[in-house]
Amino acid sequence: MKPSANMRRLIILILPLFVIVIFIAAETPVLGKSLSMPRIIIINHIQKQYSAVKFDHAAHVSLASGCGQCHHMHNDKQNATCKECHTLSSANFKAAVKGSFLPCSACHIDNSPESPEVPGLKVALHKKCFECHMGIGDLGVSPQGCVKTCHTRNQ
Amino acid sequence: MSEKGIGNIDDGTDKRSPANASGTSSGITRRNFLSLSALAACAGLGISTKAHARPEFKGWPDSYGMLVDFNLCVGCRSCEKACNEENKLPAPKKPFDDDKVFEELRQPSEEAYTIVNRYNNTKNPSAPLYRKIQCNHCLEPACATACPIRAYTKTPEGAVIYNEDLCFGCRYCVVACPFNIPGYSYQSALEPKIMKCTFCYPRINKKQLPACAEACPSGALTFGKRADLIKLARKRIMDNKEKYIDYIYGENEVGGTSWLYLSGVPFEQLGFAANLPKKPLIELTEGYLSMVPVIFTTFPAIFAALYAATRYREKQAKKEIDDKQPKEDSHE
Repeated sequence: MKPSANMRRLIILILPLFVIVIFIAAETPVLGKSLSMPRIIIINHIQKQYSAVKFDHAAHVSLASGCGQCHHMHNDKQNATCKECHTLSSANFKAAVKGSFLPCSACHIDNSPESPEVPGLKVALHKKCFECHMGIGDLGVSPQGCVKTCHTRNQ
Repeated sequence: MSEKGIGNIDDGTDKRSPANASGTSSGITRRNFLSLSALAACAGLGISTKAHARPEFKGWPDSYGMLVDFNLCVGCRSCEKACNEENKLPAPKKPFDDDKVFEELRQPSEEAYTIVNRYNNTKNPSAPLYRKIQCNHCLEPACATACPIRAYTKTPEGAVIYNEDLCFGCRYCVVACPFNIPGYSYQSALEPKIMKCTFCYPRINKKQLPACAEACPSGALTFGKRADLIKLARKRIMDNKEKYIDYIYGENEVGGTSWLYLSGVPFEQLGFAANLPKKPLIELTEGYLSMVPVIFTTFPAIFAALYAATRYREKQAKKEIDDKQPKEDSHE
């Protein structure tokens, strides 16, 4: 009798917790499963003196602590509307929320003197690279760091 | 003997007395006259300097500026390269990806309008700090004040530009600049010219970014309206209090500069002059300089009047002696 009463109490206590955990898990995108992510991204439209950069997105996903380390997430975009980051339509709302993110270049275009707080695409991308890559391959130590780390000069 | 002697002496004093008397009497008046005229001149100058007191100038409204964030600079020297290409400057002795240039602290010159220097990072010795140096485009430029032929212009857009054709090579601006920026080209003896960063004024006019800002990959250079940049700089400081020192260099230095700087270490450690006055340098000199025309116009007149007065006195004295002399002779 006693153990079963204890069990019941335990179930009553744990069940709501369990439900909450399931809800949170459903809301949190599990990397590589619920999102369709690019594996390799070729950045070939902003560089002038270097050849196109092959960015191994998948490798960075496995190293990063989460999407938020590089991408804007809900936490740092509290006042943003959904449409600033998602391509939403009423027809495919659910699918769109999870799948179709706008590219960085939707907002980060060029450095504009009218909105100095929004960096252009080149700066926005490099800033993120530099956050982790400083000191690796002489980046930040020598001007040759650019070539040693990522870039290949145009021939 | 004694009488004669005394008489002689008396005679001597008598002889001298009219001149002496007139001398002392005119000496007093001369002194009075001198002091009075000096007072008058000073009063005049005082009034003139007051008349030259300028209203405070906070810079052109909506002028552009550049925010340089040394926390973001990675020392890639892209800005140097872009500046060199944009201004068609001579090719550097060492290529732009050579880090040996960092071994010495350089200064902008007629061959490089902007340069990047490397400094030791006291916070993190493994990550050196970089400082870009170029013209700061002061809101009230000392170079423009010093230039005797107005070859310099502070444009409403914020750029301090200069007219090569007007420059005759006096190099006053080189001496006047508190940041040692203008470089003097010795390449041509017949066409001397001062050369310095123009803030890419032609590009700004075409609604383009200055070449260095466009080339910068790290976000260390942000081009925009100066007023917006100050707000942006404050926000960066507020959001990362441990990362930045709470100071925007250039906001008030020498009356404010169009280029503004943020740093994680005290600015002196990056070779910035920390003791610059907060007021425009023109305020240190304008009082004196405004006296120059006054002195040139009034002083010759004052001295001419003094000379005429003393000459008149002397003539009068001589006349008196001459008038007295025949009388004494007639008595004898």
